Amino acid sequence: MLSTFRILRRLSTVDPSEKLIFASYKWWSSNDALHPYTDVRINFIKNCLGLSGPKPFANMKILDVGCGGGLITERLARLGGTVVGIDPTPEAIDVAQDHLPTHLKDKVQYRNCEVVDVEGTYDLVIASEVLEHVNSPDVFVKQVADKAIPGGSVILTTVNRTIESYLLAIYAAENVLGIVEPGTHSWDKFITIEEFKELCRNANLDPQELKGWFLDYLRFKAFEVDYERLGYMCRCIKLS
Amino acid sequence: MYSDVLIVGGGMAGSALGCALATSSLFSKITVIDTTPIPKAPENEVPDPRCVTLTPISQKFMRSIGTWNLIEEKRRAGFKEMKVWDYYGTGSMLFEDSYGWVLENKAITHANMTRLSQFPNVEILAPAKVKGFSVRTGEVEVELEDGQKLTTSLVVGADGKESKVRNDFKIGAWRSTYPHCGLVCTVKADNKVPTAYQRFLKTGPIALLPFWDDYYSIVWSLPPLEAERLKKIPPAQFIEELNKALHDPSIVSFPVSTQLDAPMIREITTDRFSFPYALQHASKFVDSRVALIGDAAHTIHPMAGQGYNLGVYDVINLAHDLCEAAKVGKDPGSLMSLENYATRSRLYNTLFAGFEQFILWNYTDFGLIHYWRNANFSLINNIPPLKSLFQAGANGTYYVPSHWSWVSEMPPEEIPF
Repeated sequence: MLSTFRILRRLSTVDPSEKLIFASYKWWSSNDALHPYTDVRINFIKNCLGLSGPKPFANMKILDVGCGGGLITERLARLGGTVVGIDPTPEAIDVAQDHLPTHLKDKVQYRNCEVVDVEGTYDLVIASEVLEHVNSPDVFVKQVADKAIPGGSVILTTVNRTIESYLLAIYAAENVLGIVEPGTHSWDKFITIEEFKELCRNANLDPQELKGWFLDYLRFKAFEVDYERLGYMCRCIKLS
Repeated sequence: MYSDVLIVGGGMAGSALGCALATSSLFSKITVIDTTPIPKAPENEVPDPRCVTLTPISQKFMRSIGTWNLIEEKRRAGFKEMKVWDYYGTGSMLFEDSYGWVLENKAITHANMTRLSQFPNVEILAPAKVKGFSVRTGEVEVELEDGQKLTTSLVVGADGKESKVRNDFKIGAWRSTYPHCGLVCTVKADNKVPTAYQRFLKTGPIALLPFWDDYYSIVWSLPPLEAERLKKIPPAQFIEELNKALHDPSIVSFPVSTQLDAPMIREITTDRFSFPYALQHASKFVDSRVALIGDAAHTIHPMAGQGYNLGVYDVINLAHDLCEAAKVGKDPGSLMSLENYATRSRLYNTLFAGFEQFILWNYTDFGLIHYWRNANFSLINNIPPLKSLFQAGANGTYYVPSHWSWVSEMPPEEIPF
């Protein structure tokens, strides 16, 4: 039994076809919806952890799983955190590394690896917009939870599997507005709230604050909303 | 040495931006570079004619960054109404509740610099000169003339209309001349009242702005040759010409003759300075890693007394956006953090430049334009909602956010009397 468990935890959750999509993703293109969304994500994390002031994440060890081009990683470092960003796509890591300003180099470490390859534990573990891209999210959430210290926070964000999310997050965002690169998402990999909470509980995580987010396309600004039928963010506490 | 924001130019705009950013305490380090040493506290008894008029929003801004009270009380003279009239016809406008303050440039710079030096995370390099910039990934390396090298995420060009930052970042500027140049001096007058006066003359507008005691500042816009002549004539004759400009009755006095009780000028108390006017707009107000504010981005005719205020609105908009960006760890030098400022600033600057151009066209003295102009004056004066619209447009409420990110509580409104 114990050995099966160990094997499970060593299992790769990377979907090779997803890896291909993110190899050519334009992470820092200014009309990508991820940028305004990152404002919301950072604010959500700050509010959940009760942080404020000039360097809110100072003295915090943070792991950003699936960091992509380093959108969150860089910001957390600028806000004082010591961040490790990992991504299985080597091209994404290259983009992140090239974009990193010199003055943040000693705060950030990028690694081209999977979450199972990471050693040690972190005060804060983030896997934002990753769940809907991996094979077997149940295994993935367990692996992510493993990296958090007991009582530490795990931030997970993903997209709900609803008719609204098909229309807005896939059809409109990718094909009409062009704020997400076409082919980024597949609807059947989205996760409903019930499934999500189940995933968390199975991984020894206690889901706490759960909020939706929405993009005002005309002003190109994102907002935290109490509507979770599109994308949502959740802060979980790692139980000991 | 790294700073989040590096401001080139510690003048009235640059130092104000530094104060706003430092007040927010969201930045680990701010650097301000100026070619001149930090100014001493002004001690002159007679006001310096190089002055600006602050709108209520600009004054509120100075209170929000804690520099207003650093200016000696005497030097913060205000006015509560504004009278505008025309040399030709009977049109006139009286703005009863139009508040403003007349301050010397050097008093503002001194107050801002004093405040700046109180912040531990602000580095002031003055006198120092920038040699050049080299843009690298995610930051700019700034080399000074003395060989010192600094790095920053964002360079702010607040170095005036001949901006080196603008040139070095290869941003063009569109420039056009006005038919006027400015003649300024300080005068003493009888029966000083806290009112600002402006009369539109055939040759250009003349403004009389109240300083402390019985001093007034004169800002006279004239054709360059005329300005040269007035600069050279003896003081007695100059005072005579000045009074004539202010008090000569209108050419047409039908149906009523406009008598405005402008004060009689008695004495001229400083040298007369003249300077050229230019309408200039940078082709871009921001680019990746650089933002231009104040005169580096735009200059206009001073007839509406808005030049410095538009610079303050730049500071308010830019500082607000940078603080909001800093709260979520956004790179201050990326275009995504700067674009909103550029859009807003472009809007009010174009508005004022266009408005002033419209007024100048009205003074081309062509055909029956006198009547159209004076009718407009009367129209604005007699339709209260229209008048309030002009007043609101002039005091700056529309151009800045309603809440400013560097203060948790907005300072209350204040009136001079």
